[in-house]
Amino acid sequence: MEEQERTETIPQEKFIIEGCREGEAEQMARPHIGYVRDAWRRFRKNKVALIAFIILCILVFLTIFGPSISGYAFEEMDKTARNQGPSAAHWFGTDKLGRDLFARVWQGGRVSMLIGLTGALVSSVIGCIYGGIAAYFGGIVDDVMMRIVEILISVPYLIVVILLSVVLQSKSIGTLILALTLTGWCGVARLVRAQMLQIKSQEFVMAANCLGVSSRRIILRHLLPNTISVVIVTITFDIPGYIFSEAFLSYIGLGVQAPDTSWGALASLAQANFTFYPYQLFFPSLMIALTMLAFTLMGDGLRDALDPRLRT
Amino acid sequence: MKRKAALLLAGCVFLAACSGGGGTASSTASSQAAEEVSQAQEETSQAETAETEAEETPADTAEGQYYSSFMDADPATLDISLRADSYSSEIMLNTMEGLVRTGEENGSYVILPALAETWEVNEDGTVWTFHLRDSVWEDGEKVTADQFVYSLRRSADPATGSPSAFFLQPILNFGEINAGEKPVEELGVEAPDDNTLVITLSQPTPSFMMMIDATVYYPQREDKIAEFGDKSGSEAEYYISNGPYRLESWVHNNSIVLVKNENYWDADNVSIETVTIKIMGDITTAYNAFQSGEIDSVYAEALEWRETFEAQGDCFPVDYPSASMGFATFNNKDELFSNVNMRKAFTLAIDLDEMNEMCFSGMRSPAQGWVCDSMSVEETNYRDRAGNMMQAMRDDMEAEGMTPQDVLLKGMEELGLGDDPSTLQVTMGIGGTDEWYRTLGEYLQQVWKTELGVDVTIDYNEWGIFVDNIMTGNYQIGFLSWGAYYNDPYDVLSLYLTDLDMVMTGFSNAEFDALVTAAASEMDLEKRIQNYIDAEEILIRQECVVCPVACAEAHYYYKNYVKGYATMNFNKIGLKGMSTGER
Amino acid sequence: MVITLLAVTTLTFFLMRAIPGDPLSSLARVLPEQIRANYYAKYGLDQPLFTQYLMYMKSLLRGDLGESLVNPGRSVTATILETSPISAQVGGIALLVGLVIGIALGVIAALYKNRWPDVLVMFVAIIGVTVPVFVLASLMQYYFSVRLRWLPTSGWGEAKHMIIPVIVLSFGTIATYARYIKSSMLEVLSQDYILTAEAKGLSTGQVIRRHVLRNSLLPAITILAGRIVGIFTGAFVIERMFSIPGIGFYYVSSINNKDYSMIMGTTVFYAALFVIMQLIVDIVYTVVDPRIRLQNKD
Repeated sequence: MEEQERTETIPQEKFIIEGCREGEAEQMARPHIGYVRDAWRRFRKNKVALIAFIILCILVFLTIFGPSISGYAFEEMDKTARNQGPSAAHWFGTDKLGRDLFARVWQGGRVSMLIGLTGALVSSVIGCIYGGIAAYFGGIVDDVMMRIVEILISVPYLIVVILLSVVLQSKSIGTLILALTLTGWCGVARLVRAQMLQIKSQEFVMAANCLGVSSRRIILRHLLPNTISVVIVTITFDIPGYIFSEAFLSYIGLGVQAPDTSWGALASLAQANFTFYPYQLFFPSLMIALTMLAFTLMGDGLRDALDPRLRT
Repeated sequence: MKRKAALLLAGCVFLAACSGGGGTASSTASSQAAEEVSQAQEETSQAETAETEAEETPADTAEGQYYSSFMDADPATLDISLRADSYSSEIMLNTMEGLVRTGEENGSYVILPALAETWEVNEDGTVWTFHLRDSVWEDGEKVTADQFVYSLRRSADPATGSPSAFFLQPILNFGEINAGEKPVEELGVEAPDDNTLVITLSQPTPSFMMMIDATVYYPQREDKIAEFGDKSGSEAEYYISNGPYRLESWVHNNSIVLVKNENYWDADNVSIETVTIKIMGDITTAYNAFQSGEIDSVYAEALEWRETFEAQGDCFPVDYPSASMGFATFNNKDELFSNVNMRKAFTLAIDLDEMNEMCFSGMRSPAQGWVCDSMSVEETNYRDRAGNMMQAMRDDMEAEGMTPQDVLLKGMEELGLGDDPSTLQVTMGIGGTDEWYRTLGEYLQQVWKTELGVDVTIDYNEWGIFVDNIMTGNYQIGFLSWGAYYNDPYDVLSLYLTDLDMVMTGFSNAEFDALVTAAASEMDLEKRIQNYIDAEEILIRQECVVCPVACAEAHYYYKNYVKGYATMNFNKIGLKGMSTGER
Repeated sequence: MVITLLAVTTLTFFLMRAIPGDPLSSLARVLPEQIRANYYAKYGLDQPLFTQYLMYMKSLLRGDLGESLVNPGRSVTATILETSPISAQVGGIALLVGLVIGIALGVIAALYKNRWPDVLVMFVAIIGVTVPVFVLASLMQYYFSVRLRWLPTSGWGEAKHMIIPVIVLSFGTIATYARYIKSSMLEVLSQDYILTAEAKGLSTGQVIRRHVLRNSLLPAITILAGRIVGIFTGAFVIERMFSIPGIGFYYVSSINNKDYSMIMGTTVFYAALFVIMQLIVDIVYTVVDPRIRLQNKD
């Protein structure tokens, strides 16, 4: 009774109907710090990740300028200097045709870096979206989408890429990346889906649902950030994976075109005689390992930064 | 995966090939000292491993001599009519006996009687009569002339779909029968009695004796083929032999065991009791197995391994040229390469000796012409007579005071393409992508750039696609290898006959055709050799239809106790002549 | 499931036939036209493609995978049945070894985050992924059989033949699992219920076993599905290097040789395994983590 009286004392017109702005409802949860800004703040604090970032910068720098540092052209043959170990003249040694490996390793890095990065990036983006949609909607959508993945994985990859090289009649970098990512995203999609199945039944998603947040927003803002740790591990694994796959694709002629080269190509060519000339295998492999290391450490840093549950 | 091996070594790799006589004495003398040293070394290092070794290998005291070898792929099938790969051919060589075997004596080939004790040919060279010795199969059944007739008919029958049937080409009516136009009974083979086989040819074929040690000329058992059905030759139990060895067991992609066939007519001259052939798809495994003593022979593909084995001391090398030619083929119908000077410029730009060093670690022999160095016309080495045609072509050029680039510019002028080589668009197709092919392609690309100033695109492809491009004439330059099937220049020269054009060059030359066709039925040795030389002159020196690069060479290593190995390419004695002395 | 298999079969059939080349081109030989024609006729390759497809599907429905085109007389079904158990034996042991070691390493790395055990595990993981299998295999082969002469270089039939292949094969699994387990464990460790468990006074071992591990296994299970299918389909490089008569060889060689029936056979086998595995995995998800509901409950 009393209450009623009290409200009656406030005039009706003093109230403004704000309504509920859809989508922003969830933001009431806590004071808002931008997701990206927050992530960057945390990433900067991570020393290891910063070091990794520096390693990566050095690698990138060398792939750009390295080929011109040694004073040898990467495709120049020298009959008198074949299969030489590392020396003052040839820092990384020479290959079977007497070509300077220092120049070749950095020349090769251009393609490999590009391929490793774009490959991993493209496949994880597609994989995340695909897996996210499948898991979120579930039921028949999930069923159909997963069956498609199964089909894609089951058709022999070799056949698909051979055909691709025949049909496209082109051996450009674009074709190569297409061939690499054609089925590469399927693994990511399955991982993301599994992770999301687990997350989507958790309370905060239900809460967001109740608040009427759109599906797109739930997937992008709630589900994906929570699968980030798995995705990052996958990306770091995928980078060397794609670098090696490029060498494998050269098996059907889709890899880098001669006289250009790549780390994968250098490593696979060195395998034939690696017991005799281990350095020919060592340097390209080292670069692949360093790249992976840098990305792994950076990935861990990123993961710590991006995973909302690890927020401090 | 073993494309290269299949392609380059097809028809000429016999890992365990060996000779009946000669050469054994020299083998051990020089390496005995080394053997002693290595034994001393091994005694110390092997003390703890003696156990493993003992259970690893069959005891050589009780079982008699044994021999272990390897092959780099599993045989596709041991059905005589259906086989086509060199691995099955190697097994058949040791488990079957045909009419004759090609052996060697003092560096020349000799044809040794096998099941045919004697043979004669009629005057015009078309009817060959073979008199068979009495012999039996491993199950005691008699080997009869009828079984040869059955075998040849089965292979010629279009319903069999035999990929090796073209070996029967010289036999009367083969073409019509294989095309289904005549019944198989009309094939020119007859068995007047159990021990006489008469083969009638459609035209005189002087090289016929060189062809009939091919596997497709082995006898087959009609009763067994009926019993095995489709499975014939697919497993050890579906295979029957009449040769020096019988097939004891066959685990696909793992190992094959051969055991001496006591029913073999010449069993007294077979020394080794058990042969184990391991399938090692990866050559590195074979190298390791050879070093650890698990296999008794191996071949070296790279100089580095050669040096390793030489240093090892418990083995000795046997090198001989094979009959497989690696060559760049020009599409003679292509706008650019229809011009002879363009073809010559691309050929002459390559320093074959340097290429052999750079690409093949000096493990091949630089080409001297289209016909491999190891080939002979009957017992006369062909190359000794024909000389170095690649050099002759170079001499021709130098006599005119020209460089390869001058030749190129001359060709460009003739084609009306101006005088800037860098404007030319040339693509070379290569049907393989492993280290070997990569090196080759990148080397040639660089050579043509520096010598001719032409930027050549190298197009690596999966083998099937590459072959398809070649077959449809969709190429400018392609790299191929061709291993001779039998020892006569006709085998490799006939590829370029207008009607056959097996490597799709688009080359057609009436004079060349006439020379080669005439040689095929020329019974006079001298005239035949001269015909071949004249034909090769046209093919290489004048027209430069293809650019021969290098002949493959076999580089075998045998453990010091191995005796009776082959030293020549077409030797088909196999394990029969082999023995292992004191291990 | 049937539809998936049907789609895979159909797709593979037509894609495979669209590639230039045929079983004869594997001979690396240019054969006379007539010889080719007879060969095609024998295997029905001269029929219109769609007729061939119908014929294949008809025999497939009868459970007949046909006969190899490159190895005449060898049935595809028999080849698969004979060789896949061999691959599974090597692969299975390697997977098991890899799983145990990999998970253990992952747990250690997560517990000692950013300290030396973590760095060491990370190092192993990076080596495991960046060093090609081939290199590891030939190094081990060289040291154990040529240098030390403890083990045979290659072969099949006895336990000693399996030692090197198993070690080499498990390396990749160890690397992958160590990484995944570490990262998903770190995530789980930061969850509130772990705090709760610790607060309740559970020992570290109990917390890890009951709460952490169980909740971090999800990605591990997803990858496991692929890996289990993988053990039945073999490891081409390793089988070839060690002369193991497994099925891996046929996956690669059939495509190289254009052995059509073998390509189809191995593909159907793989697809069937994969689909079944997928089903099992989905069920296992719900067992491991009851929160996962596969059906949409709306």
